[in-house]
Amino acid sequence: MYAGITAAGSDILSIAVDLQGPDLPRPFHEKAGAQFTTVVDAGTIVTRTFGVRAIPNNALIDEDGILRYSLYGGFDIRKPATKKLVSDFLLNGEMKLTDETPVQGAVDVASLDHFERGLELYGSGDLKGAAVIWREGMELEFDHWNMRKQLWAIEHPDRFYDGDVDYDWQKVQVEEGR
Amino acid sequence: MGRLFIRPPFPESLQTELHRIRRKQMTQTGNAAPAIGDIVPDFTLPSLDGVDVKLSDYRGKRVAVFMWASW
Repeated sequence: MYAGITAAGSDILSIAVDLQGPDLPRPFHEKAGAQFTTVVDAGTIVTRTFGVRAIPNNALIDEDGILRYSLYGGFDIRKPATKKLVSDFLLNGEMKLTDETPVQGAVDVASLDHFERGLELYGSGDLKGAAVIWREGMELEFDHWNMRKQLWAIEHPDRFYDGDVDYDWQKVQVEEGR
Repeated sequence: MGRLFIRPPFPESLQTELHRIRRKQMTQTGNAAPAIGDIVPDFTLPSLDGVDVKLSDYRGKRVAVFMWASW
């Protein structure tokens, strides 16, 4: 499909959001045999640029750099309607929005500041300080998913870095409102 | 947003306009996101090979930006 996309003069840019840098996302990119570029966002670029607070996500941008659409976390390219929306845009430049097309929620600026301050602390090695700031940020915006996951990764590293990511544990956390 | 006096089904151009207005309202409440129709601010991020890539490198092409994580 990528060959068709580039033949139409379009492209794909994949952004892996990972505080740890390129080592964690690299195997996924290679396993997928991806020919498009993957970059790493170790900070808040996607949050500031696209207002993203949950991933996976997608933004469709035209030749003039204008945002034509962005799709909410839970974006799944395998869903026929989603695949059609993206293909029609990349291959033919078509963009049809309906009342049913989901609208992306944006990040509250206050919790964004907490997220960034926490990242500075995290970057300087103060994980405890980062966790405190992010926990405060959660009071401002509980649904800021990226920040919540980073907080979980600090408080419960065994659920993220010892082999597979424990998604069942994450489900329980969500149910318990943590 | 006020009362709408046109009944559904809306023509396609109006749907696009409604979408744009809804999105604009979300950004006007102090949320950090460009609305549909806004230029996306440029950014630079390193590729997996350590090469700097700018969003503006894609000007002149339609581009789908996918954001994901291994966690």
